[in-house]
Amino acid sequence: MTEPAAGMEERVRTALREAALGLPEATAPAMRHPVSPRGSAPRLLIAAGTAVAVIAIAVAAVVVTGSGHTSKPGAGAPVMVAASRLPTLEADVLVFMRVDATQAQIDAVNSQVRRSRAISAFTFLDKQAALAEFRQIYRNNPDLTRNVTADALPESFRLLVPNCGAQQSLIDQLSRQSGADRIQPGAGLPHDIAARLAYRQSLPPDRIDGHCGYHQPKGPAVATLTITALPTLTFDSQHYTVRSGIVEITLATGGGIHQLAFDDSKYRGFVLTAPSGPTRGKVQLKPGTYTIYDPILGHRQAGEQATIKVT
Amino acid sequence: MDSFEVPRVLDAPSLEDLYGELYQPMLRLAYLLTGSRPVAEDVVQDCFARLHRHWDHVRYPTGYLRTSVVNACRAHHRRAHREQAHFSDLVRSEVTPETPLILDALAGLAYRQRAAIVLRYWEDWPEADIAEFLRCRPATVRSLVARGLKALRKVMAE
Repeated sequence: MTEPAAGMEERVRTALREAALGLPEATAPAMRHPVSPRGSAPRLLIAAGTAVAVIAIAVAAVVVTGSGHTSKPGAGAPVMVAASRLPTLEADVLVFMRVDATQAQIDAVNSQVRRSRAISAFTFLDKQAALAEFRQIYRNNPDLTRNVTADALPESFRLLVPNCGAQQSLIDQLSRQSGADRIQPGAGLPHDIAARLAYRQSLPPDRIDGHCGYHQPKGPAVATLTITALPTLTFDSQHYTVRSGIVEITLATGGGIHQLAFDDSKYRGFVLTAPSGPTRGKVQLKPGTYTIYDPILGHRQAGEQATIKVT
Repeated sequence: MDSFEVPRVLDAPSLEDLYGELYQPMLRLAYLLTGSRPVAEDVVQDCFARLHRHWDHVRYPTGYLRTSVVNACRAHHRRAHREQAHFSDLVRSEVTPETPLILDALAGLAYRQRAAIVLRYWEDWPEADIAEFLRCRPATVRSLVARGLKALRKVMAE
């Protein structure tokens, strides 16, 4: 029997669809093991790391939704999740509000996020939650945490956007919000998790040269530039100079986790991470001055920013 | 087809919500992997029960659940291979005539072949994702699917 493979594929597809849809729609029966009161609270407690964060997140939910409950997932409606479930490094889009954003401005962004069908899940951090997370991240750096107060940190939303193609238009739409300060693409979910969540356009292991990510220029590099990020949250220089053309940039760390990104939206998705990687990537640079910074929360504010002069 | 997709959520706010949302898609997946509705119901209930037990430690409940269902169906497949599930009993009468034959042939395949075919042609996953899921290389997935289709063709020709 010599049958074209495609024909058989289609027949199998049809058979599976007919079988699966042949199952009558049924509402889910009662769960065999009823959910105990332990169900959600301890999970939050463990995941959030600190009791402060739990309270802050609960407060955030009350402030934003007007109730103490998170939304129920509906057809296409984004689900609000605890901040600990959507870390900065896994979000597709990060929305930082202005430090002085009003409640009305936050509500406007919240309402736009909740209406968007491109977003599958999101989380909101109010100032207290941001501070709790900041302290958690920098718990080994008391000098840094001692001087930062909640008022100095912006509220933020983190969004999960499964469809790569929808990210830029979403960023553009949200940018029109008056209370939004900075809206930037995040690193996205790791590839294996995206796969398990059945993302149709699954995200690449890193964003460089990936489907959703930045595409490196082809060809050999005319120059290399090694930038070292220091534990003091600065780069090893404030100004770098390099020849124009394809430049290979390497990020090294003198201690701690650091990232490197360009301010110029042309290099959107180009994010180096040290020490976990990718630590090296190529960019096409024309003569001019470019700003690089560390997109990890708080790093840029602490001074981890520099310029690259291209001659 | 769209209404039967597993929602692309990172996580549901509670186990109850997740149960309401994912029971039916998981039941369909388990049904295609076992060929028996009562078994599929058992498998899905067991998997939710396991998720409940480990709820505090599971970071991505949706992924955990899906993996549990595919693995639990594999265990069932091993136990009940000789019982030879009959898909055709449950399939509605107005289906394509060859559908019951294909499904019965599918039930005769080795489990990994069957899982690869169901994930590929029902869940519509790319090879790379199935490979991650079955913990093998993409080339192995291609081979599992190709051999599965070949076996189905052979059965259909008989």
